[in-house]
Amino acid sequence: MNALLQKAREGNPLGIDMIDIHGHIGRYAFAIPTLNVKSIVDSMNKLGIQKTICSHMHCMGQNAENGNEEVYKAIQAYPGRIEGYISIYPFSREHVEIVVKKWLKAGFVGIKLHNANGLPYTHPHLEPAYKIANQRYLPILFHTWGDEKEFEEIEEISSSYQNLSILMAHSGACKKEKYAEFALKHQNVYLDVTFSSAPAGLLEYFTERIGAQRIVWGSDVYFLNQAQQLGKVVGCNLSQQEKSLILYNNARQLLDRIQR
Amino acid sequence: MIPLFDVQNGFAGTTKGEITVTRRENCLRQMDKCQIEKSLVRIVPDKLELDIVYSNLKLYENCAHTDRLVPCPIMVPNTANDIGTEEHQVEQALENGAGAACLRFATDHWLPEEWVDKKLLDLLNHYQLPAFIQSTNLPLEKFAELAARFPDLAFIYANAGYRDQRLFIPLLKNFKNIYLSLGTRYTVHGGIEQLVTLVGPQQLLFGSGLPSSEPMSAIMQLVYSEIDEESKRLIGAGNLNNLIKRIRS
Repeated sequence: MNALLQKAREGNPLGIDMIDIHGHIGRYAFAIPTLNVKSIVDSMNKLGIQKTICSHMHCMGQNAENGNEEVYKAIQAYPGRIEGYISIYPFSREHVEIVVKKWLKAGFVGIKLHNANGLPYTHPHLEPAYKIANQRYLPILFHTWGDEKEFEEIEEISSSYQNLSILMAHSGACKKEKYAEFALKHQNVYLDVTFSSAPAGLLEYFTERIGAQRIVWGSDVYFLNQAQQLGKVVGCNLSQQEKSLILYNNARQLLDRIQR
Repeated sequence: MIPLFDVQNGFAGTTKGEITVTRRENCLRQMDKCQIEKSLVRIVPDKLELDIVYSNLKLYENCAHTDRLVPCPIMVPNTANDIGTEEHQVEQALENGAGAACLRFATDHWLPEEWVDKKLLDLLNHYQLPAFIQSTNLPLEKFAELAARFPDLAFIYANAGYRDQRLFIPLLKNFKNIYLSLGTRYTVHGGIEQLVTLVGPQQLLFGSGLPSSEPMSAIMQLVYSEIDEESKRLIGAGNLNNLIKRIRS
């Protein structure tokens, strides 16, 4: 058993750098037992995770601004440990521009977009967000679930705004081949392997197809369990160097290229 | 280190579109990698396991000569006289050291109703052979009804989802003969902690979801949970060992 696996099996901090690029705070329709930010930080401390970048569960709907306020409080409470994605509900172009500028000034590091609202990612009201994000080399985390329309919309955005770091949430939850092809075609696309299951061999497949340099790790905490999500990387059959790229280096680079 | 007895493991099956069949040796290798001492095993994936008589023979053969693999054969009421009698199925299972009986209602076309299952379930109850049921094969409400009919028989609910915490707490509180496998899709932030606090650790079992899942996910969720060491040991292996000790030969 290698050293990393041994530490994980014993429940000790893993002793490697890690950034969780996909976290949430806030209540959801199904029961989440521990709805406080401290519980995320406790989980991070136990596992040895430096940073979790969070959006609010309200990213899915019209209460996005309330969600941003809550994320801001979390950032304030745990500076450097909790970072924020801006959630946007595209009421109007003006609203989107104001929201993005306001929260970037407050220190948020990216944007989270969710299509549970039934609106396309190419909705014209979102244009100011893409423009600003492109100017500042921001990461945008898109909720995806293998839908053809999602790929088409994100392809359009990726081609138009080439400075963006595009994170495809839940890559490989289905249609893993499509995700790999998409990432091969678009050099600013990163595959985020967050989702409830931990399919054996998925990370090995993505690494073989696109290389470990464009795979990032997110847990979806506290929608999902952070330790459980980390297990899929810790246990997979990749080198320590590849695991470090996925768990830390790639995310670090995405954050470092942001222009404030 | 917490000992692990995996309730949700298997090999030798395949699924639509898959050419590779996971071999018993792969299963043992994965167990070695993660230091899982023993596993209750089925033929999985089982979508194409449609001849249960052959499937069980394959399982028994694969589990022979090692006490690390405990078979969990499929059982079906013999209401149409197309397979061995219920007595034969149970006797064969016990002779081969089975740790539970896998009931696949939907897949094998039968119902958890007294007029269908009485003979089989009475036998499982008599021998205290736990019933292993996957969430995909029986809706939770039907599962609870079945457990209520046989309060002295252990029912293992596998492939539990992360969205059902609101149901699992009253389920486990009201049915002390129900055991929840924390494998594959049970990924709940603070979930194990809440179940242990509100229900206790006795009805929780460690499950890896092998071979389709990376086992370290379920392992890390358990070993990093904020519960006491004794509870981790019970969930990791103790509870399943206790269930198997209760089986009458």
